[in-house]
Amino acid sequence: MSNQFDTIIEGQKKAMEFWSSLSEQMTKAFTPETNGKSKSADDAQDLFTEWYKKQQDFFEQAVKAGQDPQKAIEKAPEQMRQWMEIQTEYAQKWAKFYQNNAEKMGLKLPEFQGAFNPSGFFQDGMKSWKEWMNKGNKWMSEQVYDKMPYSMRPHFTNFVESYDYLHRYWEPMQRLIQNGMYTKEMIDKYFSPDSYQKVVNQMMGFRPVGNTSELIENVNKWFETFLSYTTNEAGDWSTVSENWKEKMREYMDKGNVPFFEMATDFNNRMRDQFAPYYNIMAQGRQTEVVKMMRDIQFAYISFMLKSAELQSMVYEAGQFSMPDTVRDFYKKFKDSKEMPEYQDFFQHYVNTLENTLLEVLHSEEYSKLQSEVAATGTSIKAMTDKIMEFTYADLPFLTKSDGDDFAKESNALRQKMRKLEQKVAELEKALLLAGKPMVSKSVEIKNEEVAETKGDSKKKLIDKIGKASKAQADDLKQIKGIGPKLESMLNELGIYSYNQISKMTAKEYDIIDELLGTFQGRAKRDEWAKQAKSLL
Amino acid sequence: MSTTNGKISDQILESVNTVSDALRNISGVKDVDIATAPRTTVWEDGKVKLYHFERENKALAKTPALISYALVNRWEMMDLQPDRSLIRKLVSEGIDVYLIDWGYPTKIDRYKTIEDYILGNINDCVDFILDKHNINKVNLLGVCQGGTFSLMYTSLFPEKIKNLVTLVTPVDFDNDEGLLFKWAKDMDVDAIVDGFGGIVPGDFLNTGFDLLKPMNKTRKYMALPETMADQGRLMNFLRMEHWVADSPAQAGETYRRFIKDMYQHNKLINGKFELGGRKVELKNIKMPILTIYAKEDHIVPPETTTPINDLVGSKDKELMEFPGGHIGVFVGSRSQKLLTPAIAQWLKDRD
Repeated sequence: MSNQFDTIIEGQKKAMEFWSSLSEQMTKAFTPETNGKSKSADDAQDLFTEWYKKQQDFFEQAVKAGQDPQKAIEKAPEQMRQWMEIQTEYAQKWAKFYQNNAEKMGLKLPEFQGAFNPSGFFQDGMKSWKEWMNKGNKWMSEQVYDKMPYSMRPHFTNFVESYDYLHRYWEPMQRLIQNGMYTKEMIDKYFSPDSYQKVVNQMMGFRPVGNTSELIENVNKWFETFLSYTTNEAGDWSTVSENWKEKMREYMDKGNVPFFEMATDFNNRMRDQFAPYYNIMAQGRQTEVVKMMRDIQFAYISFMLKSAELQSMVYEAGQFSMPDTVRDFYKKFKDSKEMPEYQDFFQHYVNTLENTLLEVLHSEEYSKLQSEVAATGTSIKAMTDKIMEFTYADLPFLTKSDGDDFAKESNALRQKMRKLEQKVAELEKALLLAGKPMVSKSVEIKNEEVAETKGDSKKKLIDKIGKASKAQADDLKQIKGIGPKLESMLNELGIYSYNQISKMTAKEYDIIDELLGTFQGRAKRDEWAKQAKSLL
Repeated sequence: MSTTNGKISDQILESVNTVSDALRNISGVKDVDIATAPRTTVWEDGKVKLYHFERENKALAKTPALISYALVNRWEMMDLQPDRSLIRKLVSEGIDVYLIDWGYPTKIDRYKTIEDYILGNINDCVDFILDKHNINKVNLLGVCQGGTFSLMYTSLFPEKIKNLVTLVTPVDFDNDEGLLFKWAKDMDVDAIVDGFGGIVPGDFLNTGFDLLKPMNKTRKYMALPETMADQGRLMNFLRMEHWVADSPAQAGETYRRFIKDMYQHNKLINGKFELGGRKVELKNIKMPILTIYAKEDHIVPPETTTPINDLVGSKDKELMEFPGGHIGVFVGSRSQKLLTPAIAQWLKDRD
């Protein structure tokens, strides 16, 4: 990274050296030794003294301001600009002086050209200075930008753009501050609604639905075409155009931006008028999709209109912030005759703008409209989702509704568990109150342990009654009390034959009860061993 | 004369160098790190995690503190910079700190209710800590919306909470000054939650937050060159940017209920709020309670917070004013130097 700066600094250094040697050379030509005492020499001396004094004043102030390193960094670019202006002024005076005096002094000087064109040099100098600033700014934004979270980046670039945009108007704005706000052309040129909207959009991170006035124009055109069509076609459409005309008249003398309300209303009427036709058409999935798309279209137009209205509320509120700021600074300038710093001006503008915007944001009207915009916008998203799901209904995807079912299911389980937990807690409490020991965690038997105990019991059982395989299986259902379910459960334990069962005693009956859990006491009651023996 | 000019160019070069120093700062930045206080995950349930912050020496208070942050934005705000960290400071002041990380809700969480958060998650975390430390009561520290949750929880389970601290916590939602409060009243929350398919994206919330002070971003970027001249300030700017952008989605049903029952019907302070069929009554809160509000808070204005002090049944109760804004409570220098030590002392006095 150092290369870029070193190059720039190196360039600056060369420019300085060049300027020093150039000045020295030029002054030499007018020194009294060469030309004797002359008015020109005096003038040259005056010019130089003036320049030198200006420099001295400048540096005195610069050094004073530079006590605080933080401030020095802030002011450095501005000081650089001021210093360059002093140099430019000096160079231009020199150039003029040179031209006026060259002939008198018997010198035939060529036109100032190339490296020896001082004013040209300084114009170039200013150009490179600006270039240096721009490059630096650009590099800086790129560096910061890369380290910002993705979603913050647009805000930053928007800001940089709007800042540059206003900065470009700084010079003409200075003239407005000096001369007051009376020049209508100037105001029209620099404070057009379009440029104002652009700045507000960028600084507030608005994503405009489009140019508001363009939108209005287009919708108007569309309505006009539509109306001329409906007037010719008559039929059911006539009610639409009747309503439209009626509304037009109704809104003529009303409120601020009746257009949006009127257009939204018209949009809704259109939708309702269309509904019966679509209902007739909407048979089968394809037409159903068309119907959904129609709904989306109307909702979208409605969303566009509402957001445009919302934004125009904001634009309307803030449109005088810039002229107001200029006016404020004009008053200050009249008193102090000092040109403001661009930063101060910009800051003042931003604060004025925010205050006016907050007034709107706090209004009842804005809050309601914002809610409508949000609701309409999200409803469009929901409808689009629905269309997607409908279209892909036959494909082996898990749709949003399937996901919804999972989420519902998982939450039902969560709540059920919570209820059970609560019940357990209550039972524990009741047990404790009854003086019984609490079911504590240490008594809890882990799953592995259960499996192990089960394995042990099973081993004991088989050890006693002997092994058998499926091949040796008897029909255990012949034993009273054993049904198909119990038979398969016994099989799972490795019990297949009458022979095995005939060897069971009360102890083995207990083990079976423990292992199977269900059918408790049945083996004992029905005397399985005795039955099995008789079947052998 | 050339010597004079030589000096001038030296001086100018000096300025140019100073400016380029500022520019050099940024190139040194590699990663932006937040939430660096060492911690262990001691309990989890799905996306929700309970952290325990590590400490070098023994805690000075025997009762640990559980922090319940808001569902909006992330808890990292409490440990944004190593030298401005509410969590690190609490730890160093001798408090044993636990914190619930709510995670990032996704579609599966769309039916997660406010009960699941409070009767489920918070209660589970409290039980875990009680069990681990073999104690009967824990300190609860609720932040913003997490503070409202803490009040609800404590009203239902006062026997488990030793001391309650709420930071910039809204309780009276009948307020017109705060834009969020005003807008939430007009909000068609059903349309929003259903429209988003049950999960409200963080960007949606962030748009609203941005509009509270519409020119704040502009101001922030305006000051950027100045900010960048200082390596430390630059890093903190980037940390804050990362925190702001990191905005989790909201579980739809919880969001719907919170907007309706709190912002639109103000049920909590009217004694009409229920959780899992149980009435939530703030006067059941009888343990010591510390209510902290920020004087310049434009997100949760003081008027929405201070009524806590009047509504609870505690005898030992205290209102503490922080001279700053909502975010300043966590990252302000006064927070680090005064507020956090005061909280720690308040807890130690009631250990």
